[in-house]
Amino acid sequence: MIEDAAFYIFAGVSLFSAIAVVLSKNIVRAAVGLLGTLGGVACLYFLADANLLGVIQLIVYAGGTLILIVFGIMLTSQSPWVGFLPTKVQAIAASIVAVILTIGIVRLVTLVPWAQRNPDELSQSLTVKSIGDALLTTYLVPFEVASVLLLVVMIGAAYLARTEK
Amino acid sequence: MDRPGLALIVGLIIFIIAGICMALVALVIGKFLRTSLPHPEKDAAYECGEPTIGNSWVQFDLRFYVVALVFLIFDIEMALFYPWAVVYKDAGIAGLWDMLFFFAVLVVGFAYLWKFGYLDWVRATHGQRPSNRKISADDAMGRAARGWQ
Amino acid sequence: MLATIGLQHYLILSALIFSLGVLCMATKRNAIGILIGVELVLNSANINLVGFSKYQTGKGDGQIFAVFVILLAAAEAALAIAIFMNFYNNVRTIDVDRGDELRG
Repeated sequence: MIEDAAFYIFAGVSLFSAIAVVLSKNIVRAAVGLLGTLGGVACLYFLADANLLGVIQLIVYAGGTLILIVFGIMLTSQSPWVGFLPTKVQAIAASIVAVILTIGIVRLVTLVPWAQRNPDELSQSLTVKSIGDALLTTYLVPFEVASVLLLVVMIGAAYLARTEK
Repeated sequence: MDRPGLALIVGLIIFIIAGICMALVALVIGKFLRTSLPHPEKDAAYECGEPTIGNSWVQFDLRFYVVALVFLIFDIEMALFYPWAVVYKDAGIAGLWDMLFFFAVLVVGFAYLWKFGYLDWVRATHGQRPSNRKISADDAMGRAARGWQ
Repeated sequence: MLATIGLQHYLILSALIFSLGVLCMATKRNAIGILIGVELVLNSANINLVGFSKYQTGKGDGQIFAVFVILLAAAEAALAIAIFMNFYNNVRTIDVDRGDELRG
């Protein structure tokens, strides 16, 4: 019961923040809304027994990526109100597409009879230990390739961001 | 109630509610205790004796970006170290080499940034080529940078 | 309506956040706003992965995919912001509608 209530609370926080992201005209407020969405989704991860993932979401996403986005805002905006608002036609067309997309996906999701199992009866191997094991055995190659990706990003982004060429 | 995630959630909710309540209680008590003497000077930003210059929407320097970038990369690395550290005892020497490879690749990137002056706070934007870099600033920061170069 | 939480609830939430992310990408003209929309879309994908991991497989595979998605999102954001700053240095704005000229 309390689990259901917690799901609705955190889903509501995520959705409300996502709507705030879309509607806000100030880019800094959009970033703060994104923080709300990230936090709400992290709480949903905790609720779904994905504790490690929730912590990684908070550390890397909310604590790293979002900080980088805020830095990007600081480095590129001279004023919060330099309005880049879309034209009315653009906004209406985008809204129609989004509404159709929402109806389509929700209809699809509710139509499919998902072979749902009771999570208490599944062999719950969602611990940090099992994830660490899988990371060093099944997913070892993606794990090591990810380090090369991070190397490329570190050098490439620093080179791109240089002022002198 | 026996699953760890659920206990965490309950604790989190109590923590959030208690945090909000503490802030609210402090504000409400202050509301009743303080006197009200509005003055236009009190509405100014940075009321600490200094007159403000310009607004806060100045353009920040690009050097902040490189620091944030390095922070982000090693933040990810730290997050991936944690599940590895949990299984390290069972993984043995192979697990150690796996992680050392991961770490070594990232250290190559860090060494590149350090060697070619992306991390030099003093003269990252002065436009000299990385090959003939000599610190010309003769102030305290320049001397300090020369010291650890 | 307020049934016990199941897989469908996670999927519907994910669909809503996905649509909001697409809407954000379509309506923002600030390049960083578009990046924020991309982050919303990636989060909705992660919600799907975690939901399936809990209710379908009971194994950690979905969570590991989600970890890689978070990692790739961070890398993508870092590179995108570097590109935006280059764009800003050339055009003096990050309105994406102004990036319509090619110059060698």
